Amino acid sequence: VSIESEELRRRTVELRRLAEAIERTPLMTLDRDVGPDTWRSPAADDCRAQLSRDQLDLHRAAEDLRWSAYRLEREADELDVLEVLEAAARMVGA
Amino acid sequence: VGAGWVGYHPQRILTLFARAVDAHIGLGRLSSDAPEAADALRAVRAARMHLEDGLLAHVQRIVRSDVLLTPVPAAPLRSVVADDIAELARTVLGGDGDALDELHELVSRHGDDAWAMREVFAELGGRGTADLLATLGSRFDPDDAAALAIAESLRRSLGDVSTMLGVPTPTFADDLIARCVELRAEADVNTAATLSFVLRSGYLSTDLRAGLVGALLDHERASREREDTAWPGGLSMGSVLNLEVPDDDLWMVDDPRYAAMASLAADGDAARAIFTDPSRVDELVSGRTWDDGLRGLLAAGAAASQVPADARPDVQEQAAVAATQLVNRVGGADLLMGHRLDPQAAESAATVLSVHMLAVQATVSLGRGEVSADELDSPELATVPEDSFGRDFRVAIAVFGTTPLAGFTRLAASAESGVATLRAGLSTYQAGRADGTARVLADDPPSNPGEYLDEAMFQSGELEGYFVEHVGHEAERQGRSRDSTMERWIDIGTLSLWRAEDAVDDWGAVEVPFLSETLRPAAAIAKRAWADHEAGAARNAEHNAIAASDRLTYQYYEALVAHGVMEPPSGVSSLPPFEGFEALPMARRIEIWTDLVERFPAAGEVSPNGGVVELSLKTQQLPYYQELD
Repeated sequence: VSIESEELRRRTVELRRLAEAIERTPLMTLDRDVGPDTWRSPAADDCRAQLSRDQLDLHRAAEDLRWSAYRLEREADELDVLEVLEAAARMVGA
Repeated sequence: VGAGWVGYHPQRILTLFARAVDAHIGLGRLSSDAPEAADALRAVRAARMHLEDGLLAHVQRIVRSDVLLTPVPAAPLRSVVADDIAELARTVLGGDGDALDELHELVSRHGDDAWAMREVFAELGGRGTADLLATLGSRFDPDDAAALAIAESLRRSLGDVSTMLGVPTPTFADDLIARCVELRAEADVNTAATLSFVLRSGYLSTDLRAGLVGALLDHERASREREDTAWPGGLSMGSVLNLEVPDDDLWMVDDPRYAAMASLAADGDAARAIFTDPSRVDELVSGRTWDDGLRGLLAAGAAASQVPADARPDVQEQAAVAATQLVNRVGGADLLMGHRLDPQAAESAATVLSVHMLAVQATVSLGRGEVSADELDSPELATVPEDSFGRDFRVAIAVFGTTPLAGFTRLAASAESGVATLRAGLSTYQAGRADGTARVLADDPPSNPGEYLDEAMFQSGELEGYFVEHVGHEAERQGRSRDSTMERWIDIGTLSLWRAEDAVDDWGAVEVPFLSETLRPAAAIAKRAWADHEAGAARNAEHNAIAASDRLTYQYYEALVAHGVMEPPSGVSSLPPFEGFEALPMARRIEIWTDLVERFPAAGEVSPNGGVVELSLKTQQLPYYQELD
């Protein structure tokens, strides 16, 4: 396993950790506490709408992180395969 | 709960507040060193900012309001991070410079965690916080990036904590000031600069800001009474705490009052807390001189005197008390004589008068005498009718003594920008007064509407005349002072001439014919110019009076037509504002004006009496004419 692929796998783990942390952050469930039975006014409506947009953006961000992690993982796999092939080629050459 | 219900559930809103704080802290803890995480972290920061400025700010206001009697729950748990930061801070205070980087790392990572930082500040207290900031400012190299970053981060955190969760300990502000005073006296540390650094923060809560400034003024008064210098010796040019200060303003760093005034100018509530306290205003006005031409003091006073939109009645009254303190103490003090006035000070003074124009009107029209020192120490507001809200509606207003009001008005008129602000404020007030009067005549007419209208217009004229006298003639006064400078020059020239001739006589050797041939005619020309200028001043005053009374009379016509008390002139459905009227072609203006002025009122109709306005206006200007005579 090459140093490059090791680094890519470390980042893969990091991105998945971050995606999970984003989805577990208390903001993602805050909508349960800010319903009209708690607070009702034009400002409350604005805040609920903004919260909803932010939650959507964060879900998308988490999905993007997982997609990036997937691509990095593929890249790391390819580097590993290449490494194996190069090692095999060196052995055949020797 | 019906569909139209607007409000909140007292218990649930507290839960929401606690959860929103958790969400804010949770978002602040998300971080990553992976380059691919940059976009996601941007989204996280944006969400956190929206939460902070939106939901959290709104809910916090509800939770802090008097409506909720249930106390805000305390922090859910004591943070381990807080212990670490407080411990490292103590290590740095002990002189261990190696701990600085570690402290920097912890503070920059957790500085946004309000709950944790609240624990840190509660642990350090005001005294420990003063110690730490003073140490960072004095013991480390002025270019030390870590020391600067920690100081800035601590200051920001203190602001966040005080705004979101309250002042860390009940005596935090007093303790911080007391420790700064001790360090200054005992260890020769320039804690004046430390305090200036803290007060320059844009994030402090109102309570903390007012607490710090109040304690600072109390210390300065105590020093003055002991005849000590409040912040003796020491310059702090080389401190990391001053890196953010432009070179031109560095002189203010060693006197924290300047930062205190700037801080109050940015927070009207904090400014009102100080400016409604007679002893503290007295300390600000009587206790010292101001090297910024009163710019800071007046900016803070203007913030205190402002009435925010939709302000509660108690806030409106605080603003009126603040204006009472400011105008009477500043306008009546020798302060104005001893200072070179800054143009921004004039603008701030004009703002105060514009906001409290009803109180100016009361002084001018009701002939308020002077406000005694005892009255200022326990100020009471006056109440006057305010027709804008209905015929019998009364409002509490500031109380201005005649002499201090005149002094304060001259201050407001001492710069062009102040004059422009006053003019705008006066026009707005006059339009409102005309509108209120017309509304009463339309909706709830008194038994003698003609007299009622005459009285309102007379008072409007008096107010206009007061400003024509003090503002218009303040410019003239400045012109006259230029002329008196010229006069002095003439006298000095004549005097020099006499002495030179004396000297020649004494020496008896040299003839100086050019003196009489050159200087004396020049002096005569200058004297003629000066005399012409006085006549010009009188002409200008007459012109101002006529122009102002025309404008005012028109404003009343406009309001009466708008409220249906008078029929509009033929060919139009309503009258434009005065600026629009002035822009009409001359022939059309004459047509409209003639229609309005020469119309005979129908039975039960009222008609504005422009002569009343001009008479009251000129009455107000009489002192000026007498002065010229």
